Amino acid sequence: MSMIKLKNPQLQKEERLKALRVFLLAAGLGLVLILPFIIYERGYFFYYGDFNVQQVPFLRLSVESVRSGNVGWSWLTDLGSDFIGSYSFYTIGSPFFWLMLLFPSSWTAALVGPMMVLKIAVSALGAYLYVKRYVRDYDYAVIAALLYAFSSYTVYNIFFNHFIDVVAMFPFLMYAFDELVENDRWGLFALLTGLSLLNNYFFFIGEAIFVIIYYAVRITAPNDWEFKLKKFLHIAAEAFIGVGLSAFMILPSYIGIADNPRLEGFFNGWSFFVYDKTQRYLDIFQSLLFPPELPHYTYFISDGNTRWQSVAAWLPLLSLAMVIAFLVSKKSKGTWQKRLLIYSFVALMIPGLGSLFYLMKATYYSRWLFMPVLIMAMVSVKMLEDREQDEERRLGFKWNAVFTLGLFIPVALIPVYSNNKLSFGLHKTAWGGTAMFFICGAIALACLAVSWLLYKKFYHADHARYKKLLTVSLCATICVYGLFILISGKTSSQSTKELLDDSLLATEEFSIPGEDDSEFYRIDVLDGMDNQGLYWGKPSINFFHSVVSPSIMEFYKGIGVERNVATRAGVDKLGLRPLTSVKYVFQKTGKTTALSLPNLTYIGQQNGYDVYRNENFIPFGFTYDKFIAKTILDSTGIGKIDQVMLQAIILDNDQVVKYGSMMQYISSPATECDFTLEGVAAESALRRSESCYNFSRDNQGFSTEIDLAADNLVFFSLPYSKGWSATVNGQPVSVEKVNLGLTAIPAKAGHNVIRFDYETPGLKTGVIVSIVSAVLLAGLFAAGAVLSRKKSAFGISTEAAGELLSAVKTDAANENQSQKASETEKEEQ
Amino acid sequence: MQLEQQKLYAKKLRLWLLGGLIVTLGLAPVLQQSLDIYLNFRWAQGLAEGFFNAYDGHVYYLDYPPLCFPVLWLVGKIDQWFGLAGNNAMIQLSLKVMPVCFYMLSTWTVYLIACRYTEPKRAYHAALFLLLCPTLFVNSVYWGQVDTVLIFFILWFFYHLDEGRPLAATVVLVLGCVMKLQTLFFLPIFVAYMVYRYPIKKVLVCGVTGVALAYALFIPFMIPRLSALYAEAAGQGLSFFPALTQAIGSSLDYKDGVALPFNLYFGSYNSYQYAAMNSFNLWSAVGMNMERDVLNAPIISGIGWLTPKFLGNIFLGVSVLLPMAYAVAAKFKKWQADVWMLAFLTMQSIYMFAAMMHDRYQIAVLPLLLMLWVRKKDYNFAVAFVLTAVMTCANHLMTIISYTSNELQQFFFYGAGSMIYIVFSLFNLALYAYTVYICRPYLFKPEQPVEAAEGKEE
Repeated sequence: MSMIKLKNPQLQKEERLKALRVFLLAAGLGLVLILPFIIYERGYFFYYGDFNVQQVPFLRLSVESVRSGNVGWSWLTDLGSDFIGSYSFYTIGSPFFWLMLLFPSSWTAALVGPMMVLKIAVSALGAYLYVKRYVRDYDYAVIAALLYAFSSYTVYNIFFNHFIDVVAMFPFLMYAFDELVENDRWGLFALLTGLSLLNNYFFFIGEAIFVIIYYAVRITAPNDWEFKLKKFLHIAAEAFIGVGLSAFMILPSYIGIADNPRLEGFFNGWSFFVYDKTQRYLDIFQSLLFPPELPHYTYFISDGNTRWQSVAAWLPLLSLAMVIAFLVSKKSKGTWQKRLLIYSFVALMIPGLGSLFYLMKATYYSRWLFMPVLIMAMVSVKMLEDREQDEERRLGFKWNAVFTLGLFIPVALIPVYSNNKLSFGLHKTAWGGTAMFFICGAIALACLAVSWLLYKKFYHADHARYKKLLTVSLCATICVYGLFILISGKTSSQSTKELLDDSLLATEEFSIPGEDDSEFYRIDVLDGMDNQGLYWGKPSINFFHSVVSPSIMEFYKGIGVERNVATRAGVDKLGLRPLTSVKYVFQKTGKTTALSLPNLTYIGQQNGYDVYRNENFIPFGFTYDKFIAKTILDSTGIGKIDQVMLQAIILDNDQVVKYGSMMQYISSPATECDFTLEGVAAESALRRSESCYNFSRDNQGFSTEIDLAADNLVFFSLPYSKGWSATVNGQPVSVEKVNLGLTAIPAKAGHNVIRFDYETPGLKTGVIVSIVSAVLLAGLFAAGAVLSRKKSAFGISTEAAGELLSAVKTDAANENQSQKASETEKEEQ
Repeated sequence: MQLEQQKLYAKKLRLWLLGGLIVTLGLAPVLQQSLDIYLNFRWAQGLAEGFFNAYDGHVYYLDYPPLCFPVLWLVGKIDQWFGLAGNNAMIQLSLKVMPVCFYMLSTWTVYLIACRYTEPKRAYHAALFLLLCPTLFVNSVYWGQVDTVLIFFILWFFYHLDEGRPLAATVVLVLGCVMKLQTLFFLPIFVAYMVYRYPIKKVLVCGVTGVALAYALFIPFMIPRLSALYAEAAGQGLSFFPALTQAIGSSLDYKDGVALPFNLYFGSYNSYQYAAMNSFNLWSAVGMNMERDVLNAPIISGIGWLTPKFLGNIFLGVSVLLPMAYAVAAKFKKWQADVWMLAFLTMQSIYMFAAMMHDRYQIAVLPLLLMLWVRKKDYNFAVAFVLTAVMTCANHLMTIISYTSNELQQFFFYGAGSMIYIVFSLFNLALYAYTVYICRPYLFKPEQPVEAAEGKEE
């Protein structure tokens, strides 16, 4: 049963002070982990991989967009994408992002490091608030907070940056839920539900399911919460209001991602029950017993197919020792914590159950582990707090050591005979893998030794000192293992020159000789850093972003380019670059991929790249003189669709009926299209001959002009969205989805002034729902405030006072019983 | 009783030292490395070819003062007699004998001196701390550096100074300086403490004695140059005094002329123009380890004079002047100035904040921390010793690993590996703050009888 504490001023002051201390302590430790990076990168926090090429530029783009009011269409996101739909997953829903908006846009990149420190500190604070309900001694709540905030899950996922926002917010959601159920606190849960959903909708699904399981487990556990329909309906109402609160962002996001192919497919068959790789099971144990592997480099358990999957749930210093102790303890029998932990473990071992946290989608990750980590941290300190369970704790230490060594020794020493060569150990040896494996093992083993020695020497002899030394050792462990993992990851980073001099700091001065400001064009970056164009503020067809417009996915799929998390079109797609108005190709200096592209003219070097002008460039907005029906194209089964698109616009049957008369048709692309290099150049020139000029864009859309010889469709390599509306010479026209996901509008012969406006689909409805929900939330808070007046002078409700009284009585009875038992024991001795 | 205890622990320690000597000398030829050791071997070979004219250029890149020459000369001679050149193990052993011996002697010295300040058991433990300190092991047995020589001399120097034997302290300091260049860092403490404790006349006497002794030790190494120049002047028909005057004047143009000590000490200081040379200090903490170009580049654009070198020199000056100022203040305010603590804080400050610091310079604070522990009986100093030992050992290992290959050198000096220097440096700065914090209560204590203050039992 949970503790109920009297809310006297002294206690509240102590609570607040402890909360402040845990916040500052976690911030200090966070600073220790992040500061070396900030120094190394001359004031910025860059890590490696996704962090550098996604998080930093996405944050900068998002801050700039929001501050400039450009929140409709993001031109810099791949071929263009809905801003809210694309960035609600990464940046714009996070409260930490909102905090960044208070600072100038130019500070954004420099704020990433301090913001990371803040997130870690907030996560510790949240964990403290949540756990303190379940412990008597707040010092242990501090330890639990550090265990959670600096678990291997956090350290691993710094790589993904915005996952830490979720880690930071989750304990507050749990705290609010407890407050609602136990203290009948109104409104807070709804607010936290809304904030959590805004923070990250992907993670929210998992959080919502976890909270449902949490509630189910607690109402079914003996001596815990009771199921009351009234309370249940209250919870449901708050949850709905919370979801409604976030509608202004979540509804457009839902519309934006509904057709994302990554959401297709479900776990079924054997893949529901077992992982495809046996090593995955060992990896799960590794994640519980050792510091994490690197997101991109699984040096400990190789080939487990766990790269990037956030398989990490190690508690620094204590590891699984106290969790095991808790599980074997008689006192934990039937408790909700035990049931929840067992469920989590089973879900970790059975992929189908784990995928429940992501609505059973086939693209499975272990990203939900931060939730059981919070419970693991809590039960660990609960075990340490209860002085009576010495035997269980010893068992915990023992079995934790057995499991740790049981995994470490075979992986370190097993002889492997391969290719006529005998070697030892199953760990990876390339790229410093051996050193990393042994350092990782040494840290885990040192933690075993230190935690045991501290326990043995001080736990009973001087408990106050034990807590102090445990906290100090925990802090030291966090510093050592955190820095080890982070610095190891950093070794895979781009150089400071690439990140700073050639990218982040190059934005201001970035200009290409001869570029025309009144012209819209894109660039392509070959062999360079992903999202390089984003750093330079140039639309680029090389783009690494998982949540772009579904039309982009459709388009690339249509032309045979795999578009899973990034667009990295090969140079064999000869028609793609002219079609998408790529004017400049940036080739990493020293590499030669660009030489495979036709009709490029070298114009110089810039920021570590050789720059080429694409002579096949076609301005944004052009016409065709031929079309091909999609049904015919599908039936021919021809490849090189990108080149077909250069010669004929692809229309569906309705469009053929409507616009077919404007153009000639192609019935056999294989014979009628010219797939040679000369053909690409000739068709590009033809398209260029009737194309748009005077392009200008603003926060609502864009304007351009074109002169047509005859009525025709004007094609734009703009991802189709229902949010687009267009006028030609002031008259509304229909926006057509052509060329497998792109856009065209009809225009008349002669001079045409074209205007496109974008309105985020679902935004208006979402805003209305959010406003209504906000009013309801205000009502909840008001109702809660009125109800709180009825509470007793002790600051608790009469219902809670009754519970408190019975709790005090039970505690006193237990104490008497244990006292008597110990006296009897002494007498017997 | 005390004496018996002292003898008992001395006996135990002698066994440790014997064991230590066997282990270290046994491992010295086995733990082979090429960092510096072959340079030292070339010096030995050079000295064997000409001893007193060592500084005339025939010994490759020689920048050590002359008192360690006899040992090097002996190694050079052994090489001439028996041909060590092809025998790597023997080269390693012969050049590591001196540091290893001083390692053991320093341990014994710690015990002897500590027994003057505390009970034998604590003195014994202090000696064991030093003997088992991994930094000294790596420094002498693996790397073959002579920092243990420095430790030996500073222990005796501060002991004499503290015991009221300034002249003996002067002699030890001079010998130390003429054997190991970095001993010079302690000169300001010497001056400060002399000012604090003795009348100006005594200070002057010691000063003059010291300078004279130091110069006297250098004179034999100036003579070859002076004789040659004198012969040249005399050849021009000049009589003795004019010829001598001309020879002395002309010798200023040569490194091994009358300005030899100055050329050696200041030339050596300026010969490594890096913001930090693998040292875990402020400059590495801000990412400037092994950075040469930034040393003279403005820190803030537009303020050309504000360079890391300038700032480092300011910090160096402050680190040196602060103890002097403190000594003067202590004299008038009647504070109880502890020379060991003063030395510790000064050396720590110099290492942490001055530019162009070498990785090994922090090693000198280790014995000082030990002596503070035995004198103050404050476990904070023991903790500080352990942490500093970890830090210095890590520093040694990092340096050695960095020089293992060109790739590693690039990685640790200029790649992501340089973050390790940043991390350790930040921790070392935090450790510095901690040590200052634990020293603070002792700095402004009012003067009281020395015996009572230091807990002497005799």
